Formats: sequence, C-alpha cells, structure tokens
Amino acid sequence: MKDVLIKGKDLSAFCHNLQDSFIVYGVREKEEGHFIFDEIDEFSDSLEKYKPTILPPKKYLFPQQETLLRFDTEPHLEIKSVVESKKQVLFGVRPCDIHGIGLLDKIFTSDNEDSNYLRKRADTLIIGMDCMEPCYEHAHCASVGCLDIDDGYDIMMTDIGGVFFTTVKTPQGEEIVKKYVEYTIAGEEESERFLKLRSDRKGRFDNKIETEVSNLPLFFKNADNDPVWKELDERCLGCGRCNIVCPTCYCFDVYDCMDLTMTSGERCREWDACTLKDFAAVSTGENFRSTRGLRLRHRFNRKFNYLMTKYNTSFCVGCGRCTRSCPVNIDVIETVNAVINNHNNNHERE
Amino acid sequence: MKENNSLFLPEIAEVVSTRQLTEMERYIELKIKDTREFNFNPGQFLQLSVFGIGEAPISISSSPFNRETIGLCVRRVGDVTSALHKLEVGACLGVRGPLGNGFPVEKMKNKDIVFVAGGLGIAPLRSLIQYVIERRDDFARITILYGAKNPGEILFADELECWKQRKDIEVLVTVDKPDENWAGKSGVITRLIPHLDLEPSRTYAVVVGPPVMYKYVLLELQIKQIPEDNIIMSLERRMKCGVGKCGHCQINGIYVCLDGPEFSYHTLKFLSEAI
Repeated sequence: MKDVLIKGKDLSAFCHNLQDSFIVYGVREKEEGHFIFDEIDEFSDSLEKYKPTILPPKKYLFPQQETLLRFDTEPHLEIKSVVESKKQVLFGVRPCDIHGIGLLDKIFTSDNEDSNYLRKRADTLIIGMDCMEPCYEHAHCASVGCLDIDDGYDIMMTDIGGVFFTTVKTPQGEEIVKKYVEYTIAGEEESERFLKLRSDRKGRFDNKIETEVSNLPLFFKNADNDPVWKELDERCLGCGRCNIVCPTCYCFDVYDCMDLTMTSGERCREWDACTLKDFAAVSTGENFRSTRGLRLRHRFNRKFNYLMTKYNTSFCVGCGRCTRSCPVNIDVIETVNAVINNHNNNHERE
Repeated sequence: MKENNSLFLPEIAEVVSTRQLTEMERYIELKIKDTREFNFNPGQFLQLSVFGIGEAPISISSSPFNRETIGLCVRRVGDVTSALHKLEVGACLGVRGPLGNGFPVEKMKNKDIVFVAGGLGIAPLRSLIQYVIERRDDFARITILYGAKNPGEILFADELECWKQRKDIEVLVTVDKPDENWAGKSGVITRLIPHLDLEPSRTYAVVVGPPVMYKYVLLELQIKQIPEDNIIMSLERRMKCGVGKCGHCQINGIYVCLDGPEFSYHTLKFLSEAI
C-alpha cells in the first residue's frame, strides 16, 4: 500500500473503531509525568509527546505473570499446556520499543520456539508513532541505532504538522487502515516534507556513546576487571528495577501454584531479574554471581556484548528506563562510557 | 509424542523402582507412560516435575542402552528434590527431555579415558561409564577416580566394587574423612591424579563434581599435560526452563542448558564466570 495521510483529529476514531476487532492498548498518563500502556478506547493528542512508559509494551507479549500449564493430580495426573492470547493492537509505540519487540522476536524464535510468546506476537498489530524530538534526558536511542526503524511494525505514523504521514508495512496494517480510519494517499509534497523532517531530526538526537555502537562488544570483552564494576558494586542496591523496566530483558522464574483443593493447579512463569541476589545461586549453596558488581557486569554484558555478539545488534534500545528508574542513579550511558574510557586510559598508560 | 509444541509441557512418567543410596541420595527409576523408546546421550539431563512443587534439572544416571527405563540419582537439597524423595513406586511425575547435549563420546573413541567423579558427580558419569563398559572395545585404557566426603557418602559402592573386579578397568576410590572402618585411600580426589601414568595425547579426562573441585583437578590435569580440548567438564547451574530462555544458567555468552552442560576446558577457560 502507498503511504497515506491520517488527520490528527481522526486518530481517536481510529483507536475507537479498532476496538470492534481488537483489544487496543495505548498510552495513558497515570500520574502527572508518569505514563503507562493500558487498555484505551480513545487516543489523546496530549500524549503525542509522551516520555517512555513505566513498563515497556512487551508486557502484552511476555506478561509479568503467565500460565504455562494447567494440571490435575487426581484422579490421575493430567497436564495441559496453556497459551493465552487474544487479538490486540499496540497503539502509538515508539521506535525504541518497536526495536525492543523485534529483539524479543529473535530471542523467542531462536534455538527453541516459545509458543506462548509467538502466539501472542502473531495476534498483535503494532501501530508505531515516530519521534521527532528526544522525549527526555535519558533517551539515547540514536546512540544505539534505534531511532530509525524500517521494520517490526504494521503501520508507522509520523506527525508532519497536524497530519500523520503513515507508512503501511504489512497486509494486516493495510487492512486496519482501510477498515478503521479515514485516510488519503500521500502526495509528493507530503512525502518530501516527511523525508526532510526525518533527516532534520538527526541533529537533535546526540550520539552519547563515545564509540561506534558496533565496537561495544570488543570493549566489554576486555572489561571484566574494569574498576567500574567495583564502584557499581558499592552503589547498586540489587533491587532488579533496571531489569523489570527493560524492553529487552526476558529472563523468567517458573513456579507452581496449587488451588485450594490441592489436587489441581498451574505452572506459571514470572519476570525475573539477573541483578537479584539468588538469580544464579544453586541449591547446594554456590552462587556463581555472588556480588552486585558481578551481576551488573552480567547485565551490561547481556546488552552490549553477549547477545550483541550472537545477534549482531545492540540489546539496549536506548529508552533510558533503567537510568530513570535506578534508585541510586546508575546511568547506562555513564557506565558504558566509563568502560570505554577506562580501556583507552589503560592503553595510554601501557 | 507431545500433543503440541509447547516447550514447557512435560510427558508423564511413572516411578518403577526406588532405592535409598545414602541419607541424602535416592535412586529413582522411571518409565515414560506412552512406552516410546527413550533415547539419550550420556550426560544429558531431564527436567523432573512434581506438580504443585515445581521442576528441577536432574542428570540421567542410567545406561543409554536401557531404552525402557531411566535412572536418576537425586540428592535431597531443595523443595522439588525433597518431594522426589517421597515418591513411591507407581507415583506419576512429569518429565521434559532429554535436554542438553551430553559427553562427546564419538571423539573419545579409541582414547584412554580417565573419569574424575567428586561426590554426586558420579551420577552423570555412571551413564557414561556404563556406555563405555558396554562398548569396551571402542576405548583404550579406562581409569575411574571417585572421591566422596566420607565412606557413608559413597554412591553406587556395589557397582564400584564390580568395576574394580574387572581386569580392564582401574578404579581408585578415596574419601576426604575416613572412619575407623575405612581401609581405602584417604584425601581429596586431586591427590589421586599425580600417581596416574597417563599418555597425554591419547587421554580424555572427564570431570564432574562440585564447583569447588574443578580448579584443583584442572591444575593436576594440566600438570599431566592433558590437552585442554581433552578435558571435559559437566557444569551445574541454576536452571528454570532448560531450553535456553529463562537466563538462569547463563555463563557469559553461553547457556549451560543449550550449549552444555558438558564443556571442554578449552571452551571454559575463556568464560570468566565458569570455574
């Protein structure tokens, strides 16, 4: 489908109409300055410039808690797998979070396919909303290559001044545009305005990382003994907030819940956090990452080295949620730059 | 076969026999309900479910040539393993697996094999030892070193005795803390290695034991000049999913469940959190 134009005033109707066939999740201001993804029935223009939500929209694909199995132990043991999913639209997702979902797609399809995630993913349409200005001080999407996005959404809307220039990427996206919103085909003038705005925004998004992002695995491979981990060991509270708010953290715990009859129950998974003390502890007492510094080092390596090496793309999408939510102000960019600078300083000394 | 492709759906197995080995360890023999042949490689593991309690990863301890039943040696250390100890014959439980890769038996063919088993490390090694005994002609010299904390904690003592009787296998058992009835060797397992007469280029050392054991045993094996590729270790880590998703068993960039649990020292020495 050709690029189309959707008027700003029609977005609310779009959102409303989609509810005929989907549950629609969009952004809501929970308290002043604190935004969340939640079920919405209309789009509010005041939210066009929202700061990253407290939790990323991954919660609709990989929920905080999720049932994997149901079982009965009487009269004899029976086990059924549970995959809960419903048709849903994520409305107004930022490029950073779309990148985040794209990375989760890689994780849950590689090595072994995770049907609980993939079923939800297949039932999900993503309506992106592009960013023309940095949304807040912690954003560093451009530094990790996650501002520009050309894939991973069904439609992407860009505000070109009262009207949204809309790129339709998938057949499902075309279907919802045709069915649920008034639109016109974009003309040459609008296309040029769109391209110019996209190109002009580059200067407003600084590169905050002091090397090319693709170099980061090399720096981190050599940073196991970097003093930054000792320093962070003393500051980090080991609370796990950085994990919980991250769009690309996917580690989980698994536990059983019996119902009151004690004869049937559920097996569930729940978000876990690699910065928590017992994450890598075994029942015989050993803990393979026994300090907060080691656990944070692991977390940073997952974003900038281990997964980045395996998938050849940064697993930090630059949303800045970890920095914003850290109770002791551990800053992802400062930490990455400390690793780079300590490495370079060591080299100069030697 | 499974009804659907959920990674997390166990098959149902029935306990066909149990044997209390020590106060802490119980041997449990299972049969998968739908009676399919169960094929696995020595060193692979299962996720065992006691429903309502949870799931735990346990190494398979029986011979891979026994395709009817599966034997596991379970140490009682947590909720799931305590519940496993209480299962009687006829009880049903959930099984996912076999998971992991197992020992590189093909590469080990025609080589001298030294087994180094510390404590419960004998559990996964027993499967490999039984494989090697069954295919005895495929391997050259076989040496089994086994160390336990005290005589009461020796696992599979009867089988160790049988292996010892064979002319084609050397078995050395030591205990850290002997009692007055112990007539065998005493001291940590590491002390057995210097006395071995090894031909480094044709020797595979297969080492399984508690985490603390590895670095000491590795040093002795390196003194013996065993090539790094020929030192194979099986690692214990916290695991929740067993299929490379949950993140708990990760060591640097690798997942123990997917990429292991057996690794050569050559692989592990580049992983800062491995040993």
